[in-house]
Amino acid sequence: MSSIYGYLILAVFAAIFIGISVLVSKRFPIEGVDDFVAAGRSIPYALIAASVMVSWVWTTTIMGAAEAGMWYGVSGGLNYSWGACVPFFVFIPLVMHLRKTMPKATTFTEFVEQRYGTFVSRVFFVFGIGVILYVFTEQGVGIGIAFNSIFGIPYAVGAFIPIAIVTVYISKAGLRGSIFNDVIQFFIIALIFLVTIPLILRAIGIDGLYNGLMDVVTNPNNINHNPEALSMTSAAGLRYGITAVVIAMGQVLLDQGYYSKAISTVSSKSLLKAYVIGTLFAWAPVPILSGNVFGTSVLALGVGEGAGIELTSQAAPYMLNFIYGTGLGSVMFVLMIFMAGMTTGGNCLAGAQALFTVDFYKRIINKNATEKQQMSFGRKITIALGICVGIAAVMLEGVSLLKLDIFSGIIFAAPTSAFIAGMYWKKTSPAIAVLSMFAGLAAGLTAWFTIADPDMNWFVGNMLALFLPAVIVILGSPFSRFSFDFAKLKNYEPDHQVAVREE
Amino acid sequence: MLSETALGIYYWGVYAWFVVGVVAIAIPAIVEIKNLLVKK
Repeated sequence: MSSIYGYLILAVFAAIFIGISVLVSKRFPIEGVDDFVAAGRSIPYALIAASVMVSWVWTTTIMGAAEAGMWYGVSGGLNYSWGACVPFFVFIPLVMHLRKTMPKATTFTEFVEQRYGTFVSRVFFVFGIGVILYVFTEQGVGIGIAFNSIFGIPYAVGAFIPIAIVTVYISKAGLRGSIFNDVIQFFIIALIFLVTIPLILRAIGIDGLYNGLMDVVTNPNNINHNPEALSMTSAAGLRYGITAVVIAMGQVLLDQGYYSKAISTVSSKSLLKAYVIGTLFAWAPVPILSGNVFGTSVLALGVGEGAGIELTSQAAPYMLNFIYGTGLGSVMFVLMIFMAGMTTGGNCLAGAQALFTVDFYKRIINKNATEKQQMSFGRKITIALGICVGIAAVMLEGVSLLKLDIFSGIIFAAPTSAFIAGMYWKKTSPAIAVLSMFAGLAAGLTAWFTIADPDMNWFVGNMLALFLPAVIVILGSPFSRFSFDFAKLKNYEPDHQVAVREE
Repeated sequence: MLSETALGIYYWGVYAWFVVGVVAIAIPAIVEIKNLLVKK
């Protein structure tokens, strides 16, 4: 397709999203730091549910799950879905507990500082910024590939401009602007799925799908031959689901964007409703639909690598072109990837903005800063981070997203056990927390670099990074003389004005 | 291994699940946006 269409899509959506952020900031003027980073703790549940849903729909939720459908058959999307949902069922009770025990907290690093002290808090700050930059960069890479492959727009332009759009609207309107834009993007993604899925199912038919998949199962000459393609208990698919848990655990628990959204709800009841509906009801079916309807439809049509598509990652765009023709199908695909990447990037950047505004500026750079100065710094750092992410995304052209994602699991899973234990268990000391994090990181990286089998190094590395710290925390804490008094968190006063409603 | 009937129930069932999720968000979201814009 002509690159003019691609530039037109970029220009139209830049105008819409930046326009919305300008309108939101005029309609709801930002009154202080809490308003800027936590939307004044007054956002109703459905807006948060929409925002959480689209923030967790990554470019890989569509393209990667479709690919999983091609690799593992009918169990691929399901394993992606439950694997990436589990961390939210750790996160939801955890953030509700945080809200109850430390009502005036905004960032997870504020909690870590009170619980484990300044050093551990700074380590978590680095991990928190790391996960945000990595996830945002990955979205830029995905969008850049989509615009480049469909419209022929230079990869660097397709990756950098969407990152710039997100950066402008987050720095302008803070978390509230991000949430309002997420809602618009929720409607676009939902509409494409609602219309496209039945069209594909009707076009191929359940009998066509079944017969095609039966051929994949029974015919050794089928290009995608897989005896487990119609099995819900595929061992390889299950292993993929377990790895998804490890990879997603750090990406959820260390992403301040999810804490900011949880804190911005009007009450704990709204928080619970928003996150359960946003994840379990609205998000969880998306990768299953992508895996089943995009991925296994490609299998059923007898299409495979070298026969209709070059790579299995092209399963989703192949099916959209199959239904809508190469013109409209391509536009639909790019829109989905564009919206998915922008919302996830927005969530990350809003989180980074909160971390720097609340935890960094006043504590490290200017101890006497006013809230206005804190927000001004938050805006400037958001722009600086956006530029860094844009440059990183441009430099990562040609790097495998799947490999990056699996490697990131090792790095970001390691601190999660210390964080979870710190939330509930008074005996876990700062020394145990630090030891568990670095032992998990070292063991995971050692496995990745030393195990020669490329089918096992990533799996063992991820398992060690998540479970070794858990073992150290569980075995070490009972012998610790340390005892933390959770009651003192109730009286925690942040450096900025926070008004908390009685619940 | 899934039968053809089970496959149909599985695929259409997940679609119905998605429809429920979208409706559970979309309707209250429209109402909430309207309320926010009117109230302020």
